[in-house]
Amino acid sequence: MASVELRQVTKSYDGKTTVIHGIDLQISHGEMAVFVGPSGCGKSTLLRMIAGLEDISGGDVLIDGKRVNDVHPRNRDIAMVFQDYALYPHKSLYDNMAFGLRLRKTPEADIRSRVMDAARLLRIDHMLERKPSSLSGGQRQRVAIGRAIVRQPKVFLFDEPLSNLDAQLRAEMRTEIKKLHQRLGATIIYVTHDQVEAMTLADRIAVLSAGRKVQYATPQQIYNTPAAVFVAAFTGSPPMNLVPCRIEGGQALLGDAAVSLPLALVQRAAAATTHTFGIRPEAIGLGDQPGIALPARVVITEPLGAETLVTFQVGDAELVARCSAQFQHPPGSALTVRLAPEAMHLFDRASGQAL
Amino acid sequence: MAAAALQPARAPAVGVFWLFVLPFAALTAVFGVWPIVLSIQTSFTASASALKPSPTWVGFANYLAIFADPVFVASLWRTLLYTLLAVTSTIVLALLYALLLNSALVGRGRTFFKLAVFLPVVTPDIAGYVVWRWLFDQSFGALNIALAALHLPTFGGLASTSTVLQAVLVAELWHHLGFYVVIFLANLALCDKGQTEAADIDGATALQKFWHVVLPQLRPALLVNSVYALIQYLKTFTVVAVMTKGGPNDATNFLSYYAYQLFDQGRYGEATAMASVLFAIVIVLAVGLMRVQARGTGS
Amino acid sequence: MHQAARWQKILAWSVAGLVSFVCLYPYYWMLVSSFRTSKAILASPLRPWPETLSLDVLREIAMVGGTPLWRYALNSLVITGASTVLGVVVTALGAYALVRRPHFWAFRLLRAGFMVTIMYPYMLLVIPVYIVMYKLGLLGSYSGIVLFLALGPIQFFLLEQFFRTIPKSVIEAAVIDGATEVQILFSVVMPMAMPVVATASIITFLLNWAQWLPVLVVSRSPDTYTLPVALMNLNGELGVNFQGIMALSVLITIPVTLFFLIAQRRVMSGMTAGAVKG
Repeated sequence: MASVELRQVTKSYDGKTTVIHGIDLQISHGEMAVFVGPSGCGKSTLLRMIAGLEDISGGDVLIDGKRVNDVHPRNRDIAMVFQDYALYPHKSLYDNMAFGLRLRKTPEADIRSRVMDAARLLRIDHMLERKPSSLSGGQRQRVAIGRAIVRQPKVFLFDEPLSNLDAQLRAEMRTEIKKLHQRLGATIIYVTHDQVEAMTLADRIAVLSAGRKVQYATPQQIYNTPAAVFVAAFTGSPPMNLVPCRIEGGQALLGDAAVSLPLALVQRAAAATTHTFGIRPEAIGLGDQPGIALPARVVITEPLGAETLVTFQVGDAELVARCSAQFQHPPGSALTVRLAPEAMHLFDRASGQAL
Repeated sequence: MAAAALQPARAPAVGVFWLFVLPFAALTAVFGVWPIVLSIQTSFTASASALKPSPTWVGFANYLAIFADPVFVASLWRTLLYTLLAVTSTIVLALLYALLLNSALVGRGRTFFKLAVFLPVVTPDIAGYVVWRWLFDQSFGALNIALAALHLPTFGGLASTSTVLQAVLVAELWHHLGFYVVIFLANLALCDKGQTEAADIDGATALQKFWHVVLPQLRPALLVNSVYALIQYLKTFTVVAVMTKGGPNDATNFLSYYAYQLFDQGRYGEATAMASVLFAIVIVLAVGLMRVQARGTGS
Repeated sequence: MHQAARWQKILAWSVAGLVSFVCLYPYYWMLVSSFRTSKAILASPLRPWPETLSLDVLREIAMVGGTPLWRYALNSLVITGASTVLGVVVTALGAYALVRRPHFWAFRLLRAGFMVTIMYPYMLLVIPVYIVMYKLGLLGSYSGIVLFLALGPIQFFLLEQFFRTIPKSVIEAAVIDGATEVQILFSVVMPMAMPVVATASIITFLLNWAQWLPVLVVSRSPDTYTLPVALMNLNGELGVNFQGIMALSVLITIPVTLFFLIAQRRVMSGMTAGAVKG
């Protein structure tokens, strides 16, 4: 297992269009780092640069402390799992997994034991003579993962491996991959646009936007202390409520509703001229819970079974709250909601940075 | 933040691909590009000296000569007119037949009809045209015997200047139609069934469906294949060589054939000048097509 | 989908039937006539069945233009076979390289050069090719003919189109697995390409079998003529042996017809692959 370090890694095309702007990242031994962000943010490009499939225009990529910018992919000791599985269609599953080892002149006995171990781990050991075309998407993905495992690489690279699977299969495979990581203790770099995958799988998440690193932290930190509006809006389902506000006298004004802010936030608010107020749906409760009280009116309710999502009109803003399944008040009713002060966030409206 | 040193993005190494491409490049260069260059070169030399190590340059003399040659000019017009006629009939007939074969009316017979119309495409054209030549024969050609038996007027066939072009066209259609029928069938299969069903629900007749739903989707295919057919028919040669030898009275003396005759007579300069003229026409058409296609896809 | 009226179906089948009849009748006539003497054909051209089924005519055309028929047949087989194998291998390698490195300037140039070549009136290309063969000293040789027949547009487009459908990720997976480009070509790409290579081979064979002008022009003597060239000569001879011409036509047509009927789907989809707009 190895560490991966990115120092001011940059990527540009034709010396003109820059798509990755000087990213710094340190991924430790055995860590699962997830690169997450919207389409086009550069996460796949970054992964491919680590793999060696794309040239590095500037900066350095180090694997296990060694600079690998000019090292051919086959010599970087990495293995990759692709979004479309990229299996060799005319080879059996066994041969698909054995291919890389055979190229390295690994003795057949070793190949056999490695392939069988991986196959058993992924529960595909009973179908190794079959060809990829006779398999389902989930099975193919397992083979692709198996192909990577048998190589026993220093770093595993996953490029949106679950995007082509249906929702239920995705959830199953997510758990499998997490178990795999615990079992193998491998260094994994995982790219996805799905925040649920990111939150559940990662040791640390790197949130990327437009070729820049916005935040690199544990899922809890990403969730509780997002470094920017972008990160805050990205995680959580439903996502954090983000509304523009005015700061006056230690309070955030949402139209005519005044939210008293904790002292720490008030002090930091001075760093910006325009502000965005943020609070997660689960931090908004009804009258009987502690917190800053505000008058609200019910706009719509969305019962989900285990809970109900209620959209409240508070001042000039609409806030979504997670309420109990027993929530009965119809649209139009007037209630008091309570906002937990420790879960309040303030962002610079112009830059999106957290304050 | 320290400024990162930007390097220009390196193109992927070509390496071993040079090796892969070498035989292909060699063949293309030696038997494709070089002959074409040579041909254009020869068109600027005096025929008698073309094969000598240092030929005599005569500038545009050959070109002036051929355009002053009434046979050439007539041949040029004839070729263009025939090509236009052939392309139109081929595309229209192929489209109609493809529509017929595609419809539910024909159903299970489709495979057989497809094979029947495509078989002439893979048949060596020489053998096919030899047969057609005799089918058209005035005395004992099957066609005229059949027409006479049905009390219909006989067909002048290859013997009369007024009918020879039609006869040649029939033979060429026999050989080429199937190709375009199969292409259009494939394109029809790619048509969006959802649109047709929506039109059905809207109450469209078969003709309206064709005009408003199917035809627009076929437009790019029709365009590409029309140009492909144009290029193909401009080169009409074998059918003339087998069936009419350019006659009667030069009625079927198309450019390719006339040029070849000159080559046979050793008039290399003029022959290659004609070939270059034909080549120029094809290039113009092909480039024109690419322009129109590019505009169509908005690239 | 409303049911079509019966009369519409009858009309459709009649039209298709008529077209098919026109398409197929020449073969029938060719076959029947090859068994009938010229006199018999002159007497009753439309007779549906030959008077005798003897194969005597083969003796008559055993010699065409001073060269034995079997020689022509052998030439056809050898020249067509060799040019097919050479052509498909060379074109496959070339198309693969062009698809893997499409932005390389030299490859772009090569592809453009190839495009230009196929636009040139093929029949007229033999004029300068004659000169090229002369300069290379290949006139009258089998190699010359085979080399000229090796390249063709249909094979190229077919193979190029296929190579473009190979997902980039499969190649990348092989790269990461440690394969060199040569290993990728032989272990990953070629096995996938087998069906297309087969199709391209069949089509090339069918098309090259019919070639006559290049063979005629490059040859120095009838020793290297193929069957179609023999037919051209026979057709032009004075004192026309009509039955012989038909018999020879049958000999030329039967092999490719059989070939086609066996592989019809492949051939039809392969030949039209480049022209179908997806």
